[in-house]
Formats: sequence, C-alpha cells, structure tokens
Amino acid sequence: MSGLSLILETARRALMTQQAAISVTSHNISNASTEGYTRQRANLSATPALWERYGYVGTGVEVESITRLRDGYLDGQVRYSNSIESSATTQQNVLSQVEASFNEPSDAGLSSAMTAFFNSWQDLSTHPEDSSSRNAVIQQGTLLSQGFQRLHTELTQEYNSMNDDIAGTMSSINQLTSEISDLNTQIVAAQTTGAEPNDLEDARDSKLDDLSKLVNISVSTDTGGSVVVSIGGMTVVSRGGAVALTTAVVGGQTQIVTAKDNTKVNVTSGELGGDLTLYNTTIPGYLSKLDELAGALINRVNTLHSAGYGLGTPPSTGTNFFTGTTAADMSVNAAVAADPSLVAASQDGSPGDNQVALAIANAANDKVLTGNTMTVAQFYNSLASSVGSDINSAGSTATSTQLVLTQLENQRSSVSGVSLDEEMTNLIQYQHSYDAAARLVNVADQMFQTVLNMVQ
Amino acid sequence: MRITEGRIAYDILNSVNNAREKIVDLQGQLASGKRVQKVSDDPAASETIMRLQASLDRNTQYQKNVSDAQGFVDSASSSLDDLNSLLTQVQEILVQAENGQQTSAVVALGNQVDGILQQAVSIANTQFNGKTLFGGTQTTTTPYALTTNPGPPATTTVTYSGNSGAITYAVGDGATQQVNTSGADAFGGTALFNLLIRVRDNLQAGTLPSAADQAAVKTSAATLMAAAGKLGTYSQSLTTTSTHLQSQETQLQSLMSSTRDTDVAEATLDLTNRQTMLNAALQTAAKILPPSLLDYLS
Repeated sequence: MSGLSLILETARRALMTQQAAISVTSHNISNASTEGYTRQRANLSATPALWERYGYVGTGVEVESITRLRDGYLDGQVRYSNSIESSATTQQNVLSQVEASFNEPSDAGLSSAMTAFFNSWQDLSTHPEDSSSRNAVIQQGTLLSQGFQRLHTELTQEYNSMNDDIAGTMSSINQLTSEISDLNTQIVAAQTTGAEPNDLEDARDSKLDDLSKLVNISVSTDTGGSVVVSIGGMTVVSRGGAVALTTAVVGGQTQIVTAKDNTKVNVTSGELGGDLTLYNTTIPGYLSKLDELAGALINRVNTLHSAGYGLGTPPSTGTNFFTGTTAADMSVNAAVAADPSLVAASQDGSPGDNQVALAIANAANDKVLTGNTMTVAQFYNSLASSVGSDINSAGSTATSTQLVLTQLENQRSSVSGVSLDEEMTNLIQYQHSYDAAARLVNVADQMFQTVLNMVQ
Repeated sequence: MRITEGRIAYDILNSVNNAREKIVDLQGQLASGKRVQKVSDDPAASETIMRLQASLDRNTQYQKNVSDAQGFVDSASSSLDDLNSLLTQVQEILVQAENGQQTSAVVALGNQVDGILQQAVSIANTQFNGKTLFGGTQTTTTPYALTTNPGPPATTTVTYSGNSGAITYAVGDGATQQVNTSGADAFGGTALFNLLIRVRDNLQAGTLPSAADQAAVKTSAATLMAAAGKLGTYSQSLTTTSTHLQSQETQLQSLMSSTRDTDVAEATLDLTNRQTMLNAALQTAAKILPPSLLDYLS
C-alpha cells in the first residue's frame, strides 16, 4: 500500500492514536485527586516503515502501551516507614490514655494520695488518743487503696482493650492479604493478554500501602506479575494465595502464628507490632510495677502496724492495717475500718504513745523497693515519669518517621502524581496533533478529489 | 522535581496543622499557667514536681505538727509556772509558821497548804487538747488522784497513774522533738504531793515544819524549774524549727514555680511567633493554590 491510501491510513492512525493519548490524559486529570492513583502515560511509537524504491516510507504512529509511572524502590521505602510510623503512633496514642489514668502531676494522683496517707499518720502521732485522727488515717488509707485499685483497673481495661485491638488488626490484615491475593489472580490473568492492568495494579499497591500500616511487610514481584508479600520472613501472599494468620499465647506472650500450622510470624512493627509491644511488654510492665509498689507499701505498713498497739483494754496488737498484696486487692483491713481503736499508734499500749504512728509516717522515707534503694514515692514517681518518657520516645519516633514519610511521599508524588499543568500541556499537544491529522485527512480527501476529477 | 497539585495542598495543610497544634499547646500553657500539665510534657520535670509537691505537703504537715507542739509545750510551761508560784507560797507559809505563831494560826496555815495541795493536784492533772500534760504517754488517764482514808487518824495518799514516757512529734524529715515532761520528771512522781501532804498534816497538827521539809520544798521547786527549763529549750527549738520550715516552704515553692510554671513572657513571645507563622502559611496557601495553567487557557 502506498500513495494516497497510505496518507489516509497514516492520518487515521494519527487520529486514533491522539485520541487514545487524550483519553489517557483525561483519565489522569479525572484521577488527579484519587488516593493511590498512579499517573499513566500512553507510550507512542512510530509504526514500521514500508520499503519503496526510494527508501523507507513512514506509516504513522500507534500507541505501543499504556504504562504506570511508578518507582518500586520508593514504594518499599514508604511501606517500611509506614510500619515504623504507625507502630510508634499506636503506642503514643495508647500510652497517652495510660498517662491520663496516672493523672500526674496533679492533686488527684496517687502521689498526692500517698503523701496524704503518710501525713495522716503524722496527724495521728500528734493525737494518738483521739478517735477523729484514727478515722482520718482509715479514711486516707481507704482513699489510697481506692487510688491503687482505680489505677490498676484502668490499666487492666487498657490491657484488655489491646486484646480487642489486636483481634481487629488481625482481621484487617487477613482481609487485606486475601484481597491482595485476589488482585494477584486478576492481574496475572489480565497480563496474559499482553496488556498492563494499570488500575488493578494501583488497587493492589494501595492495599499493600494499607497493609504496611498494619504490619511490617516486604514485597517482591515474581516473574508472572504476582506480588509476594512476607511478614518477618514468612510468606503470607504469593501466587498460591494468602496465608491466614491468627494469634496464639505462648509462654504468656501473645504471638502471631499461621492459622494452618501455628508457625510463628515475626511481627516487629506496624499497628500490630505496636499493639503487641504494648500488650506483651509495656502495659504488663506498668501493672507489675504498680503491684510491686502496692505490695511493698502494704507490707511495710503492716509490719510496723502489727507490732504496735491500739486503744482498748487490753490494747489490741498484731493487727494488719491493710489487707491484700497487690494494687488490685489492696484495702484497709475491714476490722480496723469498723473499729478505729484497732489503729495501732503506740509501741507499748499506752494511749498517748505515738512511736508506731511516727514510724509509719516515716515509712514514707523508708527505702523498701528495688533492693531497698527506693522509697515508695521515688518508685512511683519514676514509674509515672517512665510513662511520660515512653510516650515521648514513641512520639519522637513518630514525628521523625512522619518527616521521612512526607519526604518520601513528595518523591513518590513527584514520580507518580498527576500534575494538572503537565496534563493540560499534553492535552494541548495531543489536541494540536489531532487537529493536524484531521487536516491531513482533509488534504488526502482533496487529493482523491483531484485524482477523480482527472478521470472525469 | 515535579511538583503536583495534590502535594502542594497536602504540604500547606500539614504546615497549617503543625502551626495550629503548637498554638493550642501554648494557649493551654498560658491559660493554666503550668508548663508541665502531663508527665509527657517533661518527664524529668514531672518527677521533680511530684517530689517537690510531696515535700511541700510534708512541710505543711510539719508546720502543723510544730504549732501543735508549741501549744502543748506552752501549756505545760505555764502549768509548771503556776505550780512554781504555789511552791513559793508554801515556802512563805513555812517561814511564817516558824516565826512563832500560836497553834491556831499554824493550823490555819495548814489549811492554806491544803488548798494549795488541791490546786497543785488540779494543775498537775491539766489537759491540753484532750491530752494530760504530765501523764507521760498515759494521756487519757488522770495522772494524779488524792485518796483520803477516814482513819482515825485520817491520812491522804496520792497515786500517779502516768508513766515517764516521752511524747515526740515529727518536725522534719527524720527530725523529732520531745514536747512533754512527765509527772515523774517534773514532780518526782508523787514526791512533791507527798511533801505537801506531810507539811499540811504537820501544820494542821500544830507541829512546826522541820528544816528537812523546808529543804525538800526547795528541792522540789528546783526539780520543777529544771523541768520547766527543759520545756523552755523545747519551745526555743520549736521556734527555730518553725522558722526553718517556713523558709524551706518558700524555697520549695519558688523551686516548684520555676519547674512547673509557664514562663509567661517566653510563651507569649512564642505564641506570637507561631501565629505569625500560621498567618504566613495561610497567606501562602491563598496565593499559590488557585493559579494553574487552567487559569490561562481559554
């Protein structure tokens, strides 16, 4: 084919190609604000030339392919940072609630309650014979016990809600991996036709980004176009499908295992990683310290108290002031609460003696914790401030990773984002080409007319 | 680098958000007057604040203890003063009796001593704020009781139900202060009252006082004064402690303020700065968001 028909054919190809290019541009413009959309490009190439006596004659243009502009390396970086960031943010958020439970520094926290408790013993020491001082000691003891119980309950609630969070995150992860596996199947099927299923790939990348916020993943692509997703070395999505995950408790620690054969999956970051750290380590750590503190306080006060004497004839002795051994069950001995005369202030049974009351008041300064190196107040203050430090360290990880993420997202958007200015420029370019090609049809038409007129 | 519209919008939103976040934080600090409102605001400072608050609370308690102790010591002191002047009266009576009186006059002097005895016992049984002053740590039992056996001859015995226990108050971290002197210390247990009974009985029987009795009254007065002297020392020490506690409170409060409170000048300046930055971000947003190639295409 040559001559006029070739011109017409070339013009037709140009029209169709520019149309295709404009349609890609319009797809880009339409999705300029779509989350996870990757800009597409119509790759144009010249169609094979024809050999004529005088040389090769061009035959026009065609759309060779429509491809996504995406940098796989940046995707990997973004996903890695996503995992770190959401792990830190999860911890920061949950710990902020823990911090609110501690409610320090304030007049309503345990620190004030402990001081008030010990001060009430000093009050008793100045009036050991007086029943109102005894009632005050019982009241402060009750408030202190309630303070410990309240904090313990709130931390336990937080702990239990972490369990729900983990279950929720797990089901999201399983959902996402099975969706990614489905997309794998669709994409592989589409690719056998030779075309790039760009929008399916966008959807899969989007899901991978979502998944990376939940758990630490690494992603690779196999030769067939399927992505292979693994968590801590364990493959969870491959061409063969998705591996369902579940939780198991091993040695008191909640672990993530495969549902099929209970193989441990090494989760280190992401929301799930943050949840696991909180659930396995951080919150139980606070709870055990709180129990240790309550235990030491109860023990110290009881030791001093049971050696002392209350009022009455004969004066009572050997009474424990507190019952319970932990923050959860700490309470003022019911017998003492019912009979204030059982409060032991005296070391020898005389009603005006206050040595035991003084000793208990002084127990505030007794180093009874951490191998007898810390007072109850020091221990509690360091516990409360460790919550603050934990929040700050999670917060600074979150902030710095957010900065990295912003930078990465900027780079990613620089590669994959839709720039309207650019699309408009392309549009004008394609439109002009289209105009020119139409003109070509016109010219060819006129040439045909001329030839036909010659024949007439 | 290619810059896309989506990122521009995101970046502007981000910087506006950041500026707002900081502004809210600063406003909170200014409104509450506290720089540290929760532990994570400054963990190290929070620990200091909790420690300082506990010290302040304890300081308040110690000041309360000290003022309570002052009351007790002062009350005991004035009781001892009263008793001392009673003993002086007894000494005068003994001098009068020696100066050769008629028997009836000596008996009358004996009756006076009886009155003094009753007063002395009543003073020794004084209570302060629900506590006996001179019963040692037996603060709820009346320390001295006079019992008259009808006889004949009628005899009076005195019993001491207190002990020699010391009452100590906490007046500082690890610091205690004794506040009482017991009947055993100040009156030699029952010695003073037995002496008064003997003198009274002798005078009422018309017997002139012996030199030994006169000397004994002086000795009792000396014991009394020694105890009063001890109380004086306690009182002085309490005054010193009180002054010390007050200056400690001032120091603690100033430390607390510098650790916890917002530096208003600094925070205000910072707030102004942040607001300027927010305005700048918003103005930039208003300027750069609208224009694109679309504005120039017709």
